[in-house]
Amino acid sequence: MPDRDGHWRDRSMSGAVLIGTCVLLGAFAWLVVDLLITAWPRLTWSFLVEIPRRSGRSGGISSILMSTTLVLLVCWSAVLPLGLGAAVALSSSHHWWTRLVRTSLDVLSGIPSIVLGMFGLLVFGDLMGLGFSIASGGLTLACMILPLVIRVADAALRAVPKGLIANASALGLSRTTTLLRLILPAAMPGLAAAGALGTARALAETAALVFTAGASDRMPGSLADPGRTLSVHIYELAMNVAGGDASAAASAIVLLVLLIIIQAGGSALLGRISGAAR
Amino acid sequence: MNPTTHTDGSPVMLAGATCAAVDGACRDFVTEGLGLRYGSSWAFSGLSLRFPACRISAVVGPSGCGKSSLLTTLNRLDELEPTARLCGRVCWGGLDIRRPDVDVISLRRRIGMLFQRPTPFPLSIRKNLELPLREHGCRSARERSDRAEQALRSVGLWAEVVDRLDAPAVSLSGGQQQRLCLARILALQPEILLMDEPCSSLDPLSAEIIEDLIASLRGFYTVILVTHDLGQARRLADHICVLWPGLDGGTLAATGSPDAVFASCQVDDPVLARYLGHGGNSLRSIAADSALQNPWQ
Repeated sequence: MPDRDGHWRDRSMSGAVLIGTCVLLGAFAWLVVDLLITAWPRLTWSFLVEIPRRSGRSGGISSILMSTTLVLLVCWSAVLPLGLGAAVALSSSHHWWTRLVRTSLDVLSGIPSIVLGMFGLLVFGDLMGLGFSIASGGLTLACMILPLVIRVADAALRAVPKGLIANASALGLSRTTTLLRLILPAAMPGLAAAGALGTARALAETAALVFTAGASDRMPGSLADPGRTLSVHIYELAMNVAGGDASAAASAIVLLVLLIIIQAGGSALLGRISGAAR
Repeated sequence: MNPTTHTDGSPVMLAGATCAAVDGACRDFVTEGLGLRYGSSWAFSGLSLRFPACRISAVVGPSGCGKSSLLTTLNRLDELEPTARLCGRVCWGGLDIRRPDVDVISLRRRIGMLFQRPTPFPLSIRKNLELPLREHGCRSARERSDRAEQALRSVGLWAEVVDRLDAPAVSLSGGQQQRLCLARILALQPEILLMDEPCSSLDPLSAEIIEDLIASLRGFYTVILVTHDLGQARRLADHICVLWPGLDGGTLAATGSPDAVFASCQVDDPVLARYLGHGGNSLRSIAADSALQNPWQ
């Protein structure tokens, strides 16, 4: 009987989806619990505010957090104008080359970060003379996340209803006003998603930074100093420092919390922006 | 085949003085041999129409005859569509508005357009009206708010929104949104209003309000109304153009006063005659007629 068959199929599908969800959540919970158990003795306030000692086995991660922040700042000060500008240009033009550019961006965003690290070392480190520095690392990260940010922002801008643009044009609004007052606010949720995605990818990056920002765990004095980001710190502790497991796990917890804050903060900010616009 | 349009799609050449000579100081809106194609397919072609100043003109015809496309060429909105190619001229007060040296921003202020779907900007009601005003050089806040109030009053929306001017415009009902869109245009003090089926996405009551509003604009604005609703065209229009789909897109099938078009005007095509209700056939009886959907097959 078809009805009972359908019923049976529905139930087994629901079961499969439920099992899949449980497996995923379980894996994540396992990861977090395992990290917490390993990191527990190191998870104190002083871990956040002290500089690392004995290659990170003791002390804290304050200099690491500072380097991470500075690398992200350099990265975004390049990505924000370039990425937004490129996305606006792409989304508003209809030339034959826009498809070519979109395809190129898709290919670029698939380039392994280690290759981009080599590129950054060559271009920013050697040619531009930045050496191993936070500036060099931030700019390399910018190259890495730009394609992703442009594509997501481009999609967000193109999702703005055409009727809105036609109405604005019919009222004789200039392209600048239409962009600044109507299109960008309407695309804000998607643009914020692009920002969160880009930041998350930049925070998680290791390979591209080892070659460019270096791995020095000292407190950076300027953007020309080398610096170690959180991900690189975890990598160094886990791979190159005997007895660094607890610190690595504690740093990983901090990284996870940071990522959650970025996502949650992004969507909270977003709610306020879109609430005000509506 | 259309006599005024070359089959290879090249623009129809007209004597340079035609516009000015015919138009003079008069403010009629005139198209000459106007044709528009998207890529290789024509939306309409060879349209030489006259929309009398300060009158309501209706453009009617079945779907796909290029009515809405025609409207977009009258305020150069078709330029947003990269594949659109236009030939012919659009003249207003002796000026070809398609000339590249015409300032399109101020042109669109003078030629307002109301769309089928009401699309308020995702801003407050007040800002919906004030943003275009500010854009067109209305610097004083007092003047902006006065003109906004005047526009809202003229569409009968003032009393309904006076206590919530800072509420989001999208919180209004569909009919109110359409009236807001009309107020947004009227605040700019245009001379011509293009309306693309302004009632077709509204409930009957809201549609009636909009229709009454359009009727009240007679004598003040040159209104060009595209509509599917022949009854509405008959009720509102002083002048009617019937477009009919052909091989080269929509072409002009009949034009004149409503009485002339709907009752006495001579047409050869039997389907067109039935569409216009000649010979007592109701519109419903031809709705099922497959020849109406594909009259060239």
